[in-house]
Amino acid sequence: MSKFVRNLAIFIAGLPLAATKAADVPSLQTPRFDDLDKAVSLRPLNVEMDNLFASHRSHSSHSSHRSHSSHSSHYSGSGASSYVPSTPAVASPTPTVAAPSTRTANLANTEDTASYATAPALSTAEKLRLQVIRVQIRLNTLHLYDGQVDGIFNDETKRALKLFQTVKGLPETGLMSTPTLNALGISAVK
Amino acid sequence: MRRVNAEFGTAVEDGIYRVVDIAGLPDEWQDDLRFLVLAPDGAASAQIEAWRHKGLHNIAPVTTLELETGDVVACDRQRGKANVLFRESDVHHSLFLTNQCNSYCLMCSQPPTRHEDGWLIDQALDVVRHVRMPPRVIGISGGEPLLAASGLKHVLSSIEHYWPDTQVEVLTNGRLLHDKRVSSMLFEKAPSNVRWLVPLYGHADFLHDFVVQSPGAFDETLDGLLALQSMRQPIQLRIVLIEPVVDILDELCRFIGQNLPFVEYVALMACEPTGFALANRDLCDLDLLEAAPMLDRASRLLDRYQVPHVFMNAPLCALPERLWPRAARSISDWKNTYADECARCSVKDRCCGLFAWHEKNWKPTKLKPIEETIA
Repeated sequence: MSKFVRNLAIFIAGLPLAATKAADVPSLQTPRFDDLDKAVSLRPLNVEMDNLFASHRSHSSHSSHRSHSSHSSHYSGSGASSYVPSTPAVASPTPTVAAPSTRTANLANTEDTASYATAPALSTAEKLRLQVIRVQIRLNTLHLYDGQVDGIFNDETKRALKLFQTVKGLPETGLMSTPTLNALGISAVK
Repeated sequence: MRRVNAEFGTAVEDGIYRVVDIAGLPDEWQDDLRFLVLAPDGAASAQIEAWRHKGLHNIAPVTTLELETGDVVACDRQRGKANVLFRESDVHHSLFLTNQCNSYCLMCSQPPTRHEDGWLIDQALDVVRHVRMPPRVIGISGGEPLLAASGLKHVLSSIEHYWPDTQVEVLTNGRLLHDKRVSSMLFEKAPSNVRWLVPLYGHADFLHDFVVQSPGAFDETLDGLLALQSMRQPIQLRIVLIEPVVDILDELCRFIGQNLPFVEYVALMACEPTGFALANRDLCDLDLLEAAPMLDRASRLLDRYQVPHVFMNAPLCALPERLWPRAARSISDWKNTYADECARCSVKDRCCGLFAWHEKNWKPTKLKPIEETIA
């Protein structure tokens, strides 16, 4: 009961409205409508231009992939939360502003906005690694691949791809060609 | 927020995960997210364990019937629970930024706490990253989100980045926008995808301040509204229909029509019977149907000033039929139910229904199924 001030009279206080800037009035906005009528695309999962690695033949640059795979682990990988809890920096060193009852906002400096807001843009090598991992996972579910799921386009992966292509009647290239990706149901990493 | 039972393997850690099934994993997997893979049986669990051994460290099996693919959940491993923070099939989506508040409203459905809860911001940012299919609209609520102004800014820019087509609705009392430092920080670059939902409970300071139990709140909120208007931000005013507000509803609507003509929408909302509303039942428990003449008059007044308005949380049997077209299905999925007598009602599928806690508290009015056919 005492938590709430139940008497109107206590509240008869307060300043006259500080600023009256009601002058500039825009036209009323029309309510927004759903964009349900956006067209639904019926194209195949991937078209040629989506597929950056259609003719990737492995080997040549393995070491760099490896270095990338270790590199990428530092923005997650292990599954540990990648965010250091932002210390709740206390705001308002100037105690002048609001009435005593009014708490002030946490105005902690916003310099680190970028690190939160933008996803790390992947380099080409990282995209390749991601695409190979997805292909390896799928090939593993199909019992065609039993190697490490590590994003390295090794001989085993290549053999598994050839096997898959044989089963599907696709040209046996051992490459992540666009028809192969579509048959695997993997969208190309862009 | 839904809290469901889930059987985790040992691999799971506390924190945010996206739920996938085995078939979906190959196409969704990426380094910087964490995945809970639905494992309906032992074979599936073994498969997921095998993947972990082969190098996919950010996946973990879960056995449950209550999660859907695309859910974003916070795992509570010790209790064997998963909190569903986002579900694609829901109608209403929201992110919860803080439980602190600078007001103390008589009918607050979610009483504020004083604890430091900055981790909620990190959680919200994680949720945004983990969502598979961006929602059309996302609500941002609290507490008072402006108390975590810099966190709010992070979340807004993160949403803009990951979900460029999503409309954001920030539920705030707007009081802190009266502080130039807050408004100038938030509006360095005025957002183009945000609507602000601001409650207003009176046309005079002592009325509004009484309802929100905070002296000075009215002036600050009005100042905040004008700050929003000067940044050309869309505003929805929210009026919760409790006794002290309904008593002055005419005047309030006239005030809005005359002084705040720039608001995009006014929402007249029935009170949610939980939280502080229970402590202040004599002020908050109001039979909507008995208030119908006042609501009708308010609606006509707003019409006269050409202020668009909607009724929320009001079942159709509690509103005069003239107002039905303005009734919105506004109750969040996870707390929405219908009563037994609603089964006989012919307009049930157009009706917002009831808050799940109406059973043990009170109903907005005596329910009366609409049985005649309505065109």
